[in-house]
Amino acid sequence: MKTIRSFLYFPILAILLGCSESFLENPPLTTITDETYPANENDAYLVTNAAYNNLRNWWIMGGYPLADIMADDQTKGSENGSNPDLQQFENFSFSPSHAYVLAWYQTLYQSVRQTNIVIEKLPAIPMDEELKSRYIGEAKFIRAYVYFTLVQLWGDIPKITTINPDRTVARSPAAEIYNDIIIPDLEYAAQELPEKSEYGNEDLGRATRGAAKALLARVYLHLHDYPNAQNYAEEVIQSGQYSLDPDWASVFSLEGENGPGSIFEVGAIPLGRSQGGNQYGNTQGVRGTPNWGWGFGRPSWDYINHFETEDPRLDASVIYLGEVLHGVLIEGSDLTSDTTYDGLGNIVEIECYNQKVYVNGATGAQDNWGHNRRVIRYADVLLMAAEAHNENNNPTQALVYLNMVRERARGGNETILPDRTETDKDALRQLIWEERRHELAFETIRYFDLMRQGRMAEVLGPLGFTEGKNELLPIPQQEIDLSEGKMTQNPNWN
Amino acid sequence: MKRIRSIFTLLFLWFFCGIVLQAQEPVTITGRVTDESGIRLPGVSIYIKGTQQGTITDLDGNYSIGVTPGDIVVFSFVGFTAQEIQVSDQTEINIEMAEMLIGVDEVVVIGYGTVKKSDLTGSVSSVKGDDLLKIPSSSAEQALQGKVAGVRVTSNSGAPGSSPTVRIRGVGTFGNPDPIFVVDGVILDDITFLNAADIESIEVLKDASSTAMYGSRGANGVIIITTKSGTLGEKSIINLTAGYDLQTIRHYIAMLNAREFAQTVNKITPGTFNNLDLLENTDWQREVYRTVAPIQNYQLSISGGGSKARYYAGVGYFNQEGVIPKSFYERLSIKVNNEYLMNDFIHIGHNLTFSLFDQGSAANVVASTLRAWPTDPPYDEEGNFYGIRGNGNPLASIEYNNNTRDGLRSVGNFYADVSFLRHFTFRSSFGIDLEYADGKSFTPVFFVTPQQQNEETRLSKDRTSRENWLWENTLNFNFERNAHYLDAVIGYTAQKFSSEGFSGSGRNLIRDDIQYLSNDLTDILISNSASVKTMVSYLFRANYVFRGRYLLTATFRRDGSSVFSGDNRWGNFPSFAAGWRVSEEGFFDVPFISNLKIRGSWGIVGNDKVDTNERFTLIQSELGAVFGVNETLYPGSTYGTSGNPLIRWEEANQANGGIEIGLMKNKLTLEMDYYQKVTKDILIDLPLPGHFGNGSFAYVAFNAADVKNRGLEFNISWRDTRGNLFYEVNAVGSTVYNEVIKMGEQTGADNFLLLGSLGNGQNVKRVAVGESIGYFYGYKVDGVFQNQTELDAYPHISTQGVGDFRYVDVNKDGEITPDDRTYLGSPIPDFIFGLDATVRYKGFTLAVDFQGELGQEIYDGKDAIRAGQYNYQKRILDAWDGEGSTNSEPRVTAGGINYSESDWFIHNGSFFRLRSLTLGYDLPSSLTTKLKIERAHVFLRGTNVFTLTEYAGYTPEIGGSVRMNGIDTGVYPVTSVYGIGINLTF
Repeated sequence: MKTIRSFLYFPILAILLGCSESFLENPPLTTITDETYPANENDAYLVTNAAYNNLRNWWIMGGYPLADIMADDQTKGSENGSNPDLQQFENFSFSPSHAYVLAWYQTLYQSVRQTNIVIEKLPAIPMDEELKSRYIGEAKFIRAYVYFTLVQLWGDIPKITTINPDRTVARSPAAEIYNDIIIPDLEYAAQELPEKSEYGNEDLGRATRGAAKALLARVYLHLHDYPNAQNYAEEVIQSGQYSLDPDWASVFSLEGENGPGSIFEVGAIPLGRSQGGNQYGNTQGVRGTPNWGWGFGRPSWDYINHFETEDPRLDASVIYLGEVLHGVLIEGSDLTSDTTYDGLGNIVEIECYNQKVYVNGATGAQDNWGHNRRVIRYADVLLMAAEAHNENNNPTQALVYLNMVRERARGGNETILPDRTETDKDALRQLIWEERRHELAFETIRYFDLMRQGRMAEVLGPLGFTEGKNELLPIPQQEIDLSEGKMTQNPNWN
Repeated sequence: MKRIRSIFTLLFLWFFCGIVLQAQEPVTITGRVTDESGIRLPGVSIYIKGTQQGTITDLDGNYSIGVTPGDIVVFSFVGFTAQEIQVSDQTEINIEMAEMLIGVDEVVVIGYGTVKKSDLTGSVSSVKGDDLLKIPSSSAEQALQGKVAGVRVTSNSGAPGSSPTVRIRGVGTFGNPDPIFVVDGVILDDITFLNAADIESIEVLKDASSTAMYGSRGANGVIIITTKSGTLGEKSIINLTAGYDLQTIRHYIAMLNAREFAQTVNKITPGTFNNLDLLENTDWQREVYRTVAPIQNYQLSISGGGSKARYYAGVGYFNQEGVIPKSFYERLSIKVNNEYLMNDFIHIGHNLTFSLFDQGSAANVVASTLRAWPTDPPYDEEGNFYGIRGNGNPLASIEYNNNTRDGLRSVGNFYADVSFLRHFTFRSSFGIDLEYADGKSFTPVFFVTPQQQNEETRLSKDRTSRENWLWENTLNFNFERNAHYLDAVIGYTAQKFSSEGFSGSGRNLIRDDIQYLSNDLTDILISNSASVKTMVSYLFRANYVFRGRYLLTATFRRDGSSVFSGDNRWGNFPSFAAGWRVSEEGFFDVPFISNLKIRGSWGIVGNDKVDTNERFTLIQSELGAVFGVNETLYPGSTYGTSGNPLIRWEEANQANGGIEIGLMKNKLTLEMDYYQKVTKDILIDLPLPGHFGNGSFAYVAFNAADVKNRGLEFNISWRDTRGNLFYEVNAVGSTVYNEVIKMGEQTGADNFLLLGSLGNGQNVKRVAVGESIGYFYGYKVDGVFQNQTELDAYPHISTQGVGDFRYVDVNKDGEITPDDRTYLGSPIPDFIFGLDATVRYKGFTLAVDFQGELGQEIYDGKDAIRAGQYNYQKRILDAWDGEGSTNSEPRVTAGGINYSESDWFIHNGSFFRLRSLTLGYDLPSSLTTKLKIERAHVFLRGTNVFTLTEYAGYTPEIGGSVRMNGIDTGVYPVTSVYGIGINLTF
């Protein structure tokens, strides 16, 4: 009926009104435009939620563990010779026109835009001011996190703080990004966001004051500003909001999601991405039998051999062939060598899988789409505090925190992982760095640790890392091409 | 607006007054019409020139008509030269009609009217409907290949139901360079619903003067299709045709066999294959593609007319199965064209087509078929699909992919013509384009490998509906007096395009064959899209002929579209043309030149093919996040890809000059045109810089560039009859020169634009000032590094080693960097041509069509995109494997640096093809009249019989969107088709 009516109505109307402009005015039918959104409190809620959504994007935290594969804790994995695109990250042979480099860059800036929308548009909305500040704080936390990733990976980057930036821009110095965006954003967030316990049950997982401070500690540690790193780490510890779950293995389990030691996590449920799933766990799931995933991000042989004897964290982080998990025998993939040797008969790799993304009781490949990415954990904050204290000449306090982590890892078994007692600054520093490697493996921390510790060339050189070049990723070639000469490339990438 | 209305009113009044002053007393004249041998001719059309008043001769050739002294009465009949008699005071006029010279007095359909070929000032080419029936295809455009100068038709896919790409006079834009089709007055973007057998003629409007009547949509050319209709006074004609053809792949791509592949892979990773002699070989192309696939084609039509009505009804059935299993296209089309003469002044009529179609799409297995390891068998010992290395098991993809689409399409119009005051005709026509289509895709549970598996049954269904209407009102004024002839039309049209799409998907069906979303499925997702676009237009044209030899045409169209906003909403499109029929001049007395005409035109036309919502930044939903102790997805919405509120029409500014020559009573005709077209503010989807925050693979439309196309077209025909032998030869050819002349300010980019994304980070096509659109861009290969010394001596990329390519240091800076990429070739041909010949002798007919293109390049994308260890083409056998072995092929690798964009992937795409070969025979009338059959014609035909080309892919025709034009990413194989058929006329 409506159709028939429109057949009859419009022609007559059109001829009667002559060149009526209203006949030619057709706004989009199925959605609204940016002219009227966000406009009210519900819009503010929706647009803030959307800022979290991109974290599960394939190119940020929803795909391959690119940074971990670049570092020395994970190799490409999966079948021999598959995915040469990804292999190029393991051996640093990628070029500025590599598709992943471009997509990673573009997707991080997509989050910048989505958080800018919240930050720029919310102030004008008439709504509860406290809630508004909280939403803006959440967006600023995410923006700071994303910018921190960008600036660590690429160094000098475009500084974008509005929704409609200039078409071509030059790169701003990294220091400006820290001083004008990352640190002020996190300071705002630290002030306006509630503590973890102050959120209602439905809001668990949103950015918190503790998360903002923990991230600040991470940022300052990266900048080698140890006093500030120590202060923020201490504030998180002293807030009493977090504690170490006594069972280390369960920290990564389903039950352990949003546990006592969880400072910031990206929630996911075992469905498709648009319905809340995250493929990060699936790309690293056991390949073959049982069929839990694609098998990328394989724990490296170097990592396996690096542990102190009988550190239970090793077994809990790595799934070996022949293990039985919840009644399922791990047989692995036929097309992957169980053990790979070098020309001299030394083992260089074995087939194994990342257990931190394993979802216990998994029955199929869809289950690990529900794995929550742990972004910031309390154990990390403790170790950051230890490191900062040590640098600030407080080895005693540093040891307290370091040993808290070791005690939890020990799990009651006093014969392993003895408390550290070293007070020499340089030696203690090494011990703390090693502890980080064992505690925080496969959590996209190792790569950035090596970066701030200045050890990339030393540790990753054998993997193909070129000093003076690979400390930074190349600016994607397409970005350079589109910038009309305003953007320069990182050193030695031409 | 007001100004235009007042101008029209003044013109109208002026003509009106002029006419009214000449009223005189009417008189009836009678007579008889015969041919030169005295046989009476029924059905001869008699009308008063400059009016719509007329009649026809009865079965005895007699007529009677009311005239006013001074009127010119025209007698016209198909195949005979029309005659004009000026009435003074006689009451009886008998006419003897002579068979006409071919060609000159044909009537050509142009926008909103018709014109005699001799009076035409624009560049228009005609193709008769029968010429379209030589190729068994679902799309009538296929048959235009090689027939019209300046038109390039590329059948870029052999998939059943696919439409070819049509380009008229070069490539004038980026976004969508498709011409528009006008079928029964309805302006369309495709003619997939149309049965070629229902087509009477196709006119291709090429220059600005002829396309200006389509204003904002004429920039890419206009193809007007006139469907068949009955003739007044004709007894019914029943026509029945049946055809059966078989398709076969003529050319398989030469890939490595198992042994060759094993040897090659062993070079990369020694020891991968042992015992080469025990390897089994799988020829994947022959495994996957069918050897033959049939096409069936049937139609039945009936047409005729009385004195008050004429009718045409046709039914056609087309069924094509593809060479890739599970691909097919089936169509039933019904056409009804009727016209009723209510009285001498009012005609009403309709042209309607209903078409039901059903299409199955094959899984996209061309790429995986070529990548599959020949050492892997299709099935394992238990008969299950084997986990093929390469890119998955293509047979499994076909088996587990079920994708169909079916629906109804209806196109047509209802019209009424009212003639009044002897010189005016008002026509109102309401046209519709309706489509309702349902798609379904079902995937069962299966497991081949972890990357080729499906854990739960999946079903998705979609329904799209499209309802477009077009209301056109035109007033036609026709006047002739002494040496003056004037034909003018003014009009107003309004148009609305609405569409809505609704789709849903779910998982975990209760039974595989209960394929509805009503079951208790997991995760039912639905989406609903809709859009509306409206247009309003004013149009005007005047054709003036003085003394039958001086021709002038002026055209103007003003369009308003809802797609653009504010100041950019309205566009004005004027054009002018002139012609001179030199051969009609008194002084012209060259005996063998029967026709000589020169003409020229200039005009501006537009292109508005851009997404309806392009100018808006839309809010995107379903961007939720998971929070809470109970881990629930909470909704989220934010801005989608940025819109561009500044977009406006593309404007094509075109000038055309032409000459038409007829020799020896038009047995030999030559038509030549030279044109130059500059298109400004071309709309193009550009990738924005990453810091805009649109994410990966996001594009926004901008008016970004200016492009110039120019060329020379010619069309030569020779036809003659010698006793029982009739022959006809046609040759068409066109040159294409294409150049980008400017980049727009809106984008800020004044260097170049990137196109041709291979999906792996490489962009192999580029747009830059001074070169043709979308030229290929990459490194130039200069040889292969034979040894370390050579490697050290030349600049190279750090990851290159011995045995890898040596690229040319184009900018001579001592390094190989992305700045050393350069122009490698263009996918736009320099010269397109077609040649067809028909010979008829005593009932036998032989027709051959050749076509070809010269000068275009192809980028072999299927070879270049490597994300794993795939099979190779034979050329890898010549790979470098030691110093001095070769200097043109690099060492064997599975991917990596040698697969950067370079001219190693560029191939010459020139080709020459025997497009169709038909041998037919008319059964002798002694046989047919016994069966009451007027004509019985049987034929054998072959299509794509052979193709001469250097390119080693399935076909050298790689069309596609401007962004991907010329990149072969694995096209559905184009086949050779052979068949038989019969045509009966009752």
